[in-house]
Amino acid sequence: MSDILIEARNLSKEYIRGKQEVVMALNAIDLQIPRAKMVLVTGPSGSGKSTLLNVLSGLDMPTEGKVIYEDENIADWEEERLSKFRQENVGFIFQNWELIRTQTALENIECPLYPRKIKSKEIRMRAISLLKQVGLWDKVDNYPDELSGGEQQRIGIARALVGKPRIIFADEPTGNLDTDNAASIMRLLKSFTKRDTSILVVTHNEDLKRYADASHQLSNGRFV
Amino acid sequence: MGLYKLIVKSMVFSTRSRRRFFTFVLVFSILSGATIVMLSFFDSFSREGMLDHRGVVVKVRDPFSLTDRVSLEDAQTDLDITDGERLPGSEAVIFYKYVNFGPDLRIFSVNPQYQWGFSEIKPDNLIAGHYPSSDREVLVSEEVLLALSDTQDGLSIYTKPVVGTTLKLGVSEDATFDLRISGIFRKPDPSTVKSDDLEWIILTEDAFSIVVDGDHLDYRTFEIYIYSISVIASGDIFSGAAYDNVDALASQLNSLDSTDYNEPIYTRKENKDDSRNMTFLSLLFGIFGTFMVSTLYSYLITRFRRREVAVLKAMGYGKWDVRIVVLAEILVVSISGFLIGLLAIQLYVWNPASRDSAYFYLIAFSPTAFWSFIAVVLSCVPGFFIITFRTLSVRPIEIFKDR
Repeated sequence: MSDILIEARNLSKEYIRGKQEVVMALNAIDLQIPRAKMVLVTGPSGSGKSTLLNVLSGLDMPTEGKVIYEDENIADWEEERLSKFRQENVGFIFQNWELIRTQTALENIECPLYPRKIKSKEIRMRAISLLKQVGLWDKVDNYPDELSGGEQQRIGIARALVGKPRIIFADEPTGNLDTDNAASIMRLLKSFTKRDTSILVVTHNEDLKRYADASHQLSNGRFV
Repeated sequence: MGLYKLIVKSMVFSTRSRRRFFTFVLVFSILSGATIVMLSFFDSFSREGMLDHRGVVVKVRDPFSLTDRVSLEDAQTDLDITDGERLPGSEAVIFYKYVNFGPDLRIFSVNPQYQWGFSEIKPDNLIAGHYPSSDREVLVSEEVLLALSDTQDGLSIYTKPVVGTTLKLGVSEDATFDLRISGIFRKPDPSTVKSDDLEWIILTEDAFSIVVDGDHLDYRTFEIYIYSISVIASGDIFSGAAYDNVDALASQLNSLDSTDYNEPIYTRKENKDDSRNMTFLSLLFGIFGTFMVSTLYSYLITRFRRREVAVLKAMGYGKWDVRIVVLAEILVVSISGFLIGLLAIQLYVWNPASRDSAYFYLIAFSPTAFWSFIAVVLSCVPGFFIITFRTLSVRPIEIFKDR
């Protein structure tokens, strides 16, 4: 079994901005994400970090190049197959947490598993276990609006992990948090690499490099 | 397993957004109430009003003078028309016959295909149950008393008829004809219709033949008479062809010279057109108005939850998983709204000031409520698919970028 879980080969992504202006968000990127490692991609706003994350996770399609997952190019897959791929292999952590406001903390964590053929009891046990791991057991019945930013991000992390993904894509996971909360979140994320989960973090914060097993800097759609 | 869980959870979560939930439930309850009223208007038109719209009724001059005796096989009248024949422009000619069974009971026959054609027992005379539809069913008037037993001092114990129980009809206990009571009706008001003091029971034509021609009643003793004749016009009401035929049939029957029958009773075409137009308009508003509002609701709900849909899809929800989530909310809201609308009409009925409105009482538990449910709730589904086909098919990244 290869040590590389997911790989970008010569990946490019162009956008049309305005009427005719072509923007090269990613320009011939090569990137390997090993199993059970945390990889960090840093760069200023507009450097293409989020685009890279979206293309690698199958949310967006590259203009050129390949995203190889287990010898297959996911850029060739149909939307329904990509959904299945994300459901079974991918966890997302969003910059703005993106918790569902009508669901409690526990239900938000359970949410990705509702369409899956997993027994309700098993779902509940997994969610409770993760809620305890992120230190929010006392917030089990709270709605997102009743939680702080740090707490919401922890719920977001638990939600990303509940499906036992092989890789987590984290977009600015500490973007809206203070220094202490940011450090706490990164330590928590790092701890999950011990469970054979790979993590790709994209952030503008250079200080987070110390938590990563490998880091890359992106500028104008290219690694520097 | 996953589907059931997703549906249940989605239904529960759909009630959590309180303001949105209560707003749309209110909208749907008003919509449901209006739809029920409009469809009941049409329903009334199509059932109670059917004879007025499609029939010409000819009555004997004096139904209680027993002048026009007929046999089962040869129901000939001095009108020169026979039972079951087809007149030009007619769909059916139906004789409503009866026998008097002693001094207390009158037994009528109705054609099960044209139950509403019996002018004295229209659908709104029904208190419970339905018309007899087989030769083993009977419709009885509410005044009928069934003797249970006689006491030693000559008093009797009686019971009132109940739908679903058996009525044994015969001149002796050994030769009864067992009939299931399919419904109970109120006899026409004597102030509006020439009525009598007898108890009425209504049988299908087949059951009537068995009763009077078999061992149960002595046909030679109990003669058969004609009460009324209904001539049902062919053609449809929507185009007005049935109305033209009614006028032509009435004219044809009027020209026949008869000593035993009154002039035909019918409503002229020009007097029926307005009510027809209003009722079909109410149907259009009921069905299409509901469809439009339901579709608009589907659009709004999909817009409100667009961001959430993107997150769910990013987490791996498939196209159909997301549709179930949104559809569950639409169904919960529309069903809740429908039930509240129906309840509101019931509360209106219970209001003493409107207690006389038996019309509304009837519709709440009538097919109208069922069809209104279909219109309000199920019309959401095609509207949902029309509106959400594109919206829910887009990649989540496109929704995220729209922000």
